[in-house]
Amino acid sequence: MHRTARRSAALAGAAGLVALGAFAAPASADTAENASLSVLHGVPDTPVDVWVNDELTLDDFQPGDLAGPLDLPAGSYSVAITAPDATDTSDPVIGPVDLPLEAGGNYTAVAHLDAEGSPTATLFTNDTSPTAAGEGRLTVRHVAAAPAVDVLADGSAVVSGLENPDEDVLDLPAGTVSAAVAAAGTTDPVLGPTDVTVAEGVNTIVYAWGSLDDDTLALATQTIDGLHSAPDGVPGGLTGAAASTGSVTTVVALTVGASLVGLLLVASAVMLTRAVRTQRVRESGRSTEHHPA
Amino acid sequence: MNHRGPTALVLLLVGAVLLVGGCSPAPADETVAGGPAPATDAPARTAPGGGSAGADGVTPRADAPPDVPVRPARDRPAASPPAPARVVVDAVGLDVEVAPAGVDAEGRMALPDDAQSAAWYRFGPAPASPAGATVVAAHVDDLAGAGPFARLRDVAPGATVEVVDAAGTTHTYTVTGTESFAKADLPLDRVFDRTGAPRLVLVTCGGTWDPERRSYTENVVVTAERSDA
Repeated sequence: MHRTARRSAALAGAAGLVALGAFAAPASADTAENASLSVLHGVPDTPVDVWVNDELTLDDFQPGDLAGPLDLPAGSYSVAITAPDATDTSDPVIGPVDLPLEAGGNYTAVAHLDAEGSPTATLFTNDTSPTAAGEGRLTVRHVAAAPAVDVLADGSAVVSGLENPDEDVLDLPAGTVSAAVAAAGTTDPVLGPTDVTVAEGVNTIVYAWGSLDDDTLALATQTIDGLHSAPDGVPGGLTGAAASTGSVTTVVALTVGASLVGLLLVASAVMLTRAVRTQRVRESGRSTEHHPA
Repeated sequence: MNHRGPTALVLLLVGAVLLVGGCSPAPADETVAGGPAPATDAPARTAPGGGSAGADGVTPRADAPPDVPVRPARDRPAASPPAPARVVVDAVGLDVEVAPAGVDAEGRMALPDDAQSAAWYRFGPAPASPAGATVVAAHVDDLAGAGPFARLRDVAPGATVEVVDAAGTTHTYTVTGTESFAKADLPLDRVFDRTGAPRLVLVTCGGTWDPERRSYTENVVVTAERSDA
């Protein structure tokens, strides 16, 4: 797609229901021509159809389900969400909204409730930039009909005051965290605690969706893998004991490397040998000197 | 004569002190930090599509929707294949225990201090993984002297390598090459590649010992492909 087309699409989208990449992460290093799009259904109790550019793409899409990823040429897509028995997009439940998808971008479009409980849609950009060796990424997204929340990991707030439809992104050492969601400023969970595995090289995206008032709050999880990096190197020797050259220095090093005791013994032996040799030379010289003619 | 005795003793002591200073054991910067051990061992694999979206038989439409994979939004890391537990290269008499390891405080692959045991890079592939390099590395030496991986530089192409995993399964590989790289030139992305044919990569140090940097100058890398592939 042309840059101009994308820009106007972005403007159109921003004016509509969709928060267009408002929390976009830095662009991926991915140089692929296509964009990757997943779709999450986060409106409770309501199966829907999803139409892309007026074509039925997801039929009878169930709440809590995740579709995709779809590999799409970069460009702007018009998405409408209808009742499951609709025959066209003339009476959408949500949209139509324009989704501007850039080449190499990784996106999740979420149909969900806004903070007040009305159906809406948000396009999130998934952070697929590389993670450090040994780390994984945790993304938390608030797409529930609920006030601002804190996200607790192992009992303490790691995200504070997150509002619908915002997100927060953390890179963490790979492992499992006990995650819970509580009303902002509190520690009494409205969701969880539940174990969330933050796998190495994976962006684990956790959505809080549903409605607090209707008691339909739930967590949804999406993972995007392949973000890993190689370690910075491989150490491999501690003492020099295995050095391959056969010089005198190496032989000495090999021996002394064996232990501190060995080191002292070798040192003593070397010095004794030298001392004795010196003494012999001197004595022999002296004896020559004193040899009776 | 008697007056030379004390001189020799002084020289001996000075020499010993110098040698101690010059060959002190492993410095802090080479000590493996180990690091915390997160509970997961393998990268997540997105669950395969739970079915197609065209299953609605109630309202058939002329234009069937495309086959888009749909699954419950409960992605989890896939179960990890068993970790390698032992590596054997009969040709050079190498037989070492292997333990999982991650990265050290400096972002390098963490290795056990004991050169008699090796580490498996637990964030990468395991022998039963469908793709990528299973990386096993060890220090070439420690305070007790040269370790088994010092023999890697003698491993020739065609040699058989056996890896026994934690489930007791033996995976057999054939060496395709032994390479040495200056440490700075070690192709880390290739060594730790998680794609491509399943293979085994054994890494240790080589070259010469640089006493200033407390490090060897090179890495020795042995690559082996699956024998049954």
